[in-house]
Amino acid sequence: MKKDDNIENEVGIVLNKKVGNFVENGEEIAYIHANSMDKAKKAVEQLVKIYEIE
Amino acid sequence: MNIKDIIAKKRDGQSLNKNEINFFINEYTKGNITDYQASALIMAIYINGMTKEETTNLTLAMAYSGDVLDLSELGSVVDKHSTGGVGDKVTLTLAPIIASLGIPVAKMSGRGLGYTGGTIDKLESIPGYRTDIPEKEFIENVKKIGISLIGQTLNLAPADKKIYALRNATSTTDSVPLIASSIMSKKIASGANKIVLDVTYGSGAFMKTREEAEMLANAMIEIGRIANRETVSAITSMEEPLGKCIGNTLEVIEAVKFLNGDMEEDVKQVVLELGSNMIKLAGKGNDLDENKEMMLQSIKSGKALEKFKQLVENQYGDVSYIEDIDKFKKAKYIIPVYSCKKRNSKKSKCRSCRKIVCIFRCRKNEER
Repeated sequence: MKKDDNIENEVGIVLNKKVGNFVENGEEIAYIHANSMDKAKKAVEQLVKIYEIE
Repeated sequence: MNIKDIIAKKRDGQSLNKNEINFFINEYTKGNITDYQASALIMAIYINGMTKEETTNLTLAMAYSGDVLDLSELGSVVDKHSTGGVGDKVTLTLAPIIASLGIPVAKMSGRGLGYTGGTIDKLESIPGYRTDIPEKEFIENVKKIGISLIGQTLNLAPADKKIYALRNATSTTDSVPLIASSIMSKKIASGANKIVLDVTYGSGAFMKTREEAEMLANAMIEIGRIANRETVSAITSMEEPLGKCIGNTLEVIEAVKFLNGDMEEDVKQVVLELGSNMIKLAGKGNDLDENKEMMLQSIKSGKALEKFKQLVENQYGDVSYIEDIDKFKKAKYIIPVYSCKKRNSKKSKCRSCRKIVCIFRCRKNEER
């Protein structure tokens, strides 16, 4: 077993909107890929804060 | 020679000569100079700066503080370095394109530093891919198929590693001579004799403004000139992650799509900019626009993707994943994030994005 066997390679974020893109109310801005609901929720909370939408 | 005198000299704003710099690096690497003495000297450098000659001497001393990869039998090897950012899948796409044009790519890449995965972490998400092959096999691969990407199996620039750790702990990271010498020492130790740099600036990068990025780029170009390693630099804005994907597997998938011709505009711009300069340094074309066209042709004809598949296969990776990206393991949950206001989505701040990736990268067995 390699030391990195426990890294979760499949998790991450796919951005649906980037700087300058127009966003409709309630539209998807990104997708969180996670293996635990708990971590996914944390990531959603943070991502909502990171996106500045005027 | 005595470290106290060297510290005092730099503290008083004088320049250090080559012997003094070599003494510091050699003795610090061996452990004969303490961390607190090294910290004091680094702080003095931070405050008083360094001349071009000092910066170059520091670079070379660090580069030769450990193993130096000898790529001379491959001819002139052009390396590229990006000062980084989130979602940086540039190496994954650029390396096979360059190799498909007959320019050797021999690259030892680092792992991610804290937040994001490095190129090596990304490649290891391809089942079977080995990043730890011996140096001999690495060089044989480049001779055989023109490309090899591996992790740092050698002890490259150990002095840089020690100083990097000190800088992190002593608020001395953002100093141009210290950043420039750190980057260039690693490039020289990994055998590059021609170097294309990508210095990024913006909220997602080390350098916050274009002016700062230019200063850093110029410092590295000067080191390259004095150390006889031809160096050019692109300067690119990094206000948000490159492309759409962040995460090891997700970025490999995005890179494969790119090589299939499905290119995100921002990734495409950076890859073409760096690649056209690499081709020029390799002596395969002086006109940057024509070089970009050559790269696009290589993608269009499928040669670049073919080269990537060869790379994966040659390093024991399962190439069927590259042929069918749906085979990659997916995360259990895919959760959409919804907007709650109208208008333009402004800056997605990379720094915080990094933190999110960090939450994910925690190992499974550390979950509580």
